[in-house]
Amino acid sequence: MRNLLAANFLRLKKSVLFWGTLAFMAGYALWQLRFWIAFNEVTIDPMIFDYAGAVGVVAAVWSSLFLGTDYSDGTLRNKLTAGHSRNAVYLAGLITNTSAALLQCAAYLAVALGSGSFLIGPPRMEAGRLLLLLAGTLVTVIAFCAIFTAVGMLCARKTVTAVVCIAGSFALLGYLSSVDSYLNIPQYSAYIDVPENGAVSVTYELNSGYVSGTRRAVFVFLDDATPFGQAVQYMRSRQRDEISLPEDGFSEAQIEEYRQHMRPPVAPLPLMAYSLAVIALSTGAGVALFRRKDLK
Amino acid sequence: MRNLLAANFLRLRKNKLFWGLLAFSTGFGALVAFNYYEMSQIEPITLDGAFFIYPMTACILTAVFIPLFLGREYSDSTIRNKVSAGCSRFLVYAANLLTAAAASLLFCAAHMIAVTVVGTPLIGFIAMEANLAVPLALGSLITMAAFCALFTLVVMNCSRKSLSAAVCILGVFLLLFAAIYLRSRLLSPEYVNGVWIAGEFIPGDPTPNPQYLSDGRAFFEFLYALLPSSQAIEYASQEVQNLNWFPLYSLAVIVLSTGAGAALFRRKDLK
Repeated sequence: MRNLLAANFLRLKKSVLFWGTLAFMAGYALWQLRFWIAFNEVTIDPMIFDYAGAVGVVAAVWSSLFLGTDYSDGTLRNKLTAGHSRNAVYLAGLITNTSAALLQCAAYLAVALGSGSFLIGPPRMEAGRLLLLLAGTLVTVIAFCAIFTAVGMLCARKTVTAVVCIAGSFALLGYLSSVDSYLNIPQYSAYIDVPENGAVSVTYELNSGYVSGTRRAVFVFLDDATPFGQAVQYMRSRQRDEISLPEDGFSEAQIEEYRQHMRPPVAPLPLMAYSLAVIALSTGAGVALFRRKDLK
Repeated sequence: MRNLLAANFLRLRKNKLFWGLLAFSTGFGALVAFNYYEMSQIEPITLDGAFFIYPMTACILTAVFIPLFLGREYSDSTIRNKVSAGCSRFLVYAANLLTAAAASLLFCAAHMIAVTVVGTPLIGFIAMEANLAVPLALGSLITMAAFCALFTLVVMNCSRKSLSAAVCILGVFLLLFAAIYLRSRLLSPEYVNGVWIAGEFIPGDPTPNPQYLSDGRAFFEFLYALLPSSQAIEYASQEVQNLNWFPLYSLAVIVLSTGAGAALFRRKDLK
């Protein structure tokens, strides 16, 4: 196993594509910084988790081409002929892909936290919550890698793997962005009345755009259980954490009532549980199918 | 040339991916039309939006299809055989480009037919007049041909099918994101009624908008007119102002990319 990992990491180090993905993630962080500077933002909170979605695509590119090359160069067959077990080969591939993806996240965070803290401002959310969300995104990224590894190890045709992983990743991220948007529509719209004298009043009316019933249940499941949906949620976590009421002068009770009517903030722990299940299922199925695969 | 085209179209007819993507385009068109029907129950809406959305989806389908279809010729050594058999490299390139463009046009047509067949009985026919709709549709097909020219340039000059697939798919999304970004900058108003403080918008007196483009506007507009993806967005939004210019820009893209692609292909070492 150690030899397999050593060989994989050597290929990683020498891969121009890998260093290119790191440069891309760093560049993406700079791009986001530039965007938020224009809006006079004072904290990097809105952009700090944007790597979750980007890694979904970048890891798809990297892992599909990395594992695919193993197939096309015959390296995979050589590894098995040399005596390594199929389990070991699969796991080594998964570990390498995961490490690459985590390094890609680190590249983004290094620029975001390093430069961002000075150019815009340091994170202002509570440290405990920040670390919890960070841990959540990392588990989501590992889930991405588990899925892409399963596809890459089971499909001997590099091009098909690349197309399925990259196009699929874009398509699913796009689709789940719209699912998440539907879920963010509140059940009750808040109508705020600010009279000249007297207290601000907030009335709530049923919102016709609210998605309910079976459709909502399906959407919630897709949004929470899939790493794509989770990535979208983490990227939008700040909007759900903060209650943006337009005017001042609301009582504590009113603010609390408003919060009750909006979608609750992102809860990383259930999402991490779902992701761990995804990792277990995809790796389990992947290993089982890979064992029986006929490697020509 | 006739033989090359005949061979290509035979391969196309037998290609499962082509039929799969054609079915997807048809199904998507039907789905969008049905979606518009559901929306029409809430407020009146015409079929035009559903009909003209195909440039956005067809460019992605084409980006998936061309590397897999044309790239196969490298891995199967078909290209080497065609050249050895005496066909000129330019004709091989041109025949492949025409086949790719035909496939792309068929994806578009499938969508248009599906939307019309499903949507017309439910909502009614397209509201736009024919003298506007026909040039719009034709212009969008020229834009699709521009996409095909760009993808063919990549695929014919890269013998590694997987790499060209990754480049085409990432490239089309990059072009789409670039187009969306250019559009938002170009449409930004010069003044906003308020100011951005700490990421929040505080309503107030008109102040200059930092997103507004003052210098470099001409360059952004040129780029916006040139990119096939931004043209696709404009066609999908049924914007009719730039009908005269877009086909010319697209033709320029087709001519330049085909010229460059064929020139590179001539010198390529076909192992």
